[in-house]
Amino acid sequence: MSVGSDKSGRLRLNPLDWLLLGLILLGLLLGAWYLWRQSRGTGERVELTVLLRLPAVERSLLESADGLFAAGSAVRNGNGTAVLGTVREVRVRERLLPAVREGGLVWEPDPQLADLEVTVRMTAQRQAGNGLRVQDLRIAAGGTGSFCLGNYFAAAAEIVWVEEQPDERTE
Amino acid sequence: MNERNETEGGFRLSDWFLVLLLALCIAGMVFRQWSLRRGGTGELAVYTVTAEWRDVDSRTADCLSEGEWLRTGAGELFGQVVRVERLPAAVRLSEGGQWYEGTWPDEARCGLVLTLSVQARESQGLLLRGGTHPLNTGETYLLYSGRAELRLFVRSCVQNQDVQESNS
Repeated sequence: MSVGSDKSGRLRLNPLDWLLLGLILLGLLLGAWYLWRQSRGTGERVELTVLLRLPAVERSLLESADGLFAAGSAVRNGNGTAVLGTVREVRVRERLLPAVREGGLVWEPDPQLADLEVTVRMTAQRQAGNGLRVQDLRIAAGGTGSFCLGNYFAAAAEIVWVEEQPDERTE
Repeated sequence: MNERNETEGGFRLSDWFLVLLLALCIAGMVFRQWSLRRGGTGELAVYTVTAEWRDVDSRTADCLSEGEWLRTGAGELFGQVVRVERLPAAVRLSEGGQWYEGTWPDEARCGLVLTLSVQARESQGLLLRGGTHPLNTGETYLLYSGRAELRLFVRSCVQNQDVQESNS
């Protein structure tokens, strides 16, 4: 049984079929173009200095021979497929916990965990109405992002501070 | 058997079903745009919105300045920051049935109270930002400035036409 076919067995399409096919193809092409545009990154190129906080890192990891990563390590996106920038500085901060001592609130360092503050330099695009973006990640102080710092995966690192820097290549 | 499913001009029953689906999609989009208007068509008024940005690293708070415009995640303008007041972030701990309160050492963390200027319109008891999106007291909004991401808890919305005049 064949519906809508001519004597030779080929499928016969009416104008409405062609219209619907055209709409679907147009939608697919628009979607592909939009994704390509997003991945390419549009907007003004901006150099950023970003301060990341990696909370609650085990001290035992920091005390290994090479530590976790050092200044100069590459900063990659969460799945490690693209280099976004470079680590400039790594600082270990005490992770302070509130405690009650002698009838008052005091702050004590966590004996097992510490916070890492990492200064990174990366290149972003300033998109109108869409902020500063590195690939599909929005860089904004108060937000979070997952990065690969050297060989260390920093899940949901807190973006503490963002500052625009003059492009070193034009200085 | 092929001709039984076709009307004159080659249109099949399934084609008309697809046309109906397409018409319903278009009708849905039109209805959604219409429903956002909510029957209010007057001019927008300026409202003073007081909001809190809670428990923020002090360096993160430095990334927000007075006069900046805040946008939603979709890029729509939300309002302008008129005033920023910084307060130390309080920490409360309970032990032995008693509450103890303190602040972070070196004011490492703080809270901000923001005064915003937002254009909105009241319609059927609802305050609509930009005439379309609800602006509710007690709700938290995810907003963006040029360099910061803010989770703002709205404490009050008061119509104040003088704010726009004083800022011009």
